Amino acid sequence: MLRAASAVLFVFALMAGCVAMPDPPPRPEDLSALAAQYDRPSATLPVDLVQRLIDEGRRRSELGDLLNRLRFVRTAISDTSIGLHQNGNADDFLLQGVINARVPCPGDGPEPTTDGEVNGLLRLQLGVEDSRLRRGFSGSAERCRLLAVSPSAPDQRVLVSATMVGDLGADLGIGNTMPGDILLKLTDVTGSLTGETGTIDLSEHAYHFRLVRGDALEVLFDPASLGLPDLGTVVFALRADGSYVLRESRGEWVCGGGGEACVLR
Amino acid sequence: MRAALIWLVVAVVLALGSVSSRAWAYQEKGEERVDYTAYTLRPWELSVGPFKAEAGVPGGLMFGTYLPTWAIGPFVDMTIPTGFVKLRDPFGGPVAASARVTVVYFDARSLAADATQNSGSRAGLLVLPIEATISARYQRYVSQSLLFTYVFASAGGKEPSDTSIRGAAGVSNFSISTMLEVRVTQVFSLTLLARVLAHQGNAHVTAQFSEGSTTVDADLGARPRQREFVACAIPGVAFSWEHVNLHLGLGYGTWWLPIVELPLTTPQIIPDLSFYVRF
Repeated sequence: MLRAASAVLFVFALMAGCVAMPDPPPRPEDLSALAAQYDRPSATLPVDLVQRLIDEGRRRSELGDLLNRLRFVRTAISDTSIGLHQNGNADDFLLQGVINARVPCPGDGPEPTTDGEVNGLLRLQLGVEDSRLRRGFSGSAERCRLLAVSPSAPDQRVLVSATMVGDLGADLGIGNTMPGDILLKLTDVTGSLTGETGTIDLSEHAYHFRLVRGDALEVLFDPASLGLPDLGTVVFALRADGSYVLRESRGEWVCGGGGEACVLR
Repeated sequence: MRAALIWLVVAVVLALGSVSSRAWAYQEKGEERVDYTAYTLRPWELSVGPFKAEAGVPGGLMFGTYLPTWAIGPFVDMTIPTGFVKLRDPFGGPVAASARVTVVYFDARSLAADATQNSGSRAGLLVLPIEATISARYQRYVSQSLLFTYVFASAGGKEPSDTSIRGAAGVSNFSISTMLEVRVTQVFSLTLLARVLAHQGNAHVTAQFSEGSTTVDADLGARPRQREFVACAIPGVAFSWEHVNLHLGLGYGTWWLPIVELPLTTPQIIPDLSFYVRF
């Protein structure tokens, strides 16, 4: 009887010692192909279309710009990576599992605050494998309030909700603070922009943009969606200082002011 | 010089052979060594030493506790209750089997409060070594035991603050040990304890922390990047007088922490000392 009990105890011990590591979350929509398109736009543009496509790029980048380029997504990921490095031991151990991060939206007051009850929250879910944050992540913005940055209209307040998936371009080692490029795809965007001229609906079914080093904002689009010939894809890049370029397969189009011709560099 | 040598020989013979009437019987039923073996104390027999106190009760049961954990509590302002129960098979044959469960709980509230400068901080560590042992007597002078030890350790803590940092971790391992005892004289015996870490379980950590304005909930598993060979061998000698028992050993390898039975990571020279009185 006791021998049987000992045997059962032993088997139990063996089983208990083989508890599996917690699984990372299911992989969200894979944006790596979309990120590759941002890296290598395929269009070869005739010069007479460039200005029109730049205008379209400026229009398409407006929403991302109004959302402050969601810079605090990068902050949240950097904070998560630093915090894991400080609180864990990724050098000696292989870590695997799930990270749920939440960061309060900055709010639409004159100065950013961290009151998530008032400002709304950004939630991110990241997977950890082999002590690295997986490049693909998911998340949501929940009644997120922020102040649109626009020199011409300084008091535009944004309220937005959306679900999102993102791509860091590569897995991020724990302790690394700066994911290079962050591609964000927002879906079911609902929200409004309120300013001196009234309220504008910001709803979009789907919207994607990429935040790159130096805080430039990029949007990828296909000129064929404007009724133009099928030329391939282009990327409009709006830099932090307000300057912009249009990138295609051969390089970047830069347009000077004062009616100067656009040139390919 | 010759007289001194004779006196030395006489002293050694008296020391090793100062025979109690039961000394030869220490390899017999009810008189065996109880550390690292499947054997238990006889009913109502007590064993007390500076390290632990244990008592046998009818039914092959044995209870005990580790005295230092209670003694240091007031000095570190931390309660560390420990206890174990051991149950031996009822057959009493040459091959014995037993199961032993130890519970160690560190209520490290005050240490956590000191470390975090927050009187509301709480921290606790539960260690649960579970042991199954088989012992065999090959003949009157030799016995060998095989121990399977599973240890589960669980730690938890909380620091109340604006960010409410808290976490919990669990880790387990499985060791195999063998204890060989060869009785040389009625009092004196040679021992060899060898241990090997057979399996190091993954750690499971749930934690919440804040960094900047970001709050992070982590549910993570951790496993060592390198699986090292963890083992030790400790030869020793034991003196078993009628009531007094002394065991001295010196070995090399990874030291298993006493009581919690968790191995350290760095090989080193390992001293082993135990002293207890059975009555």
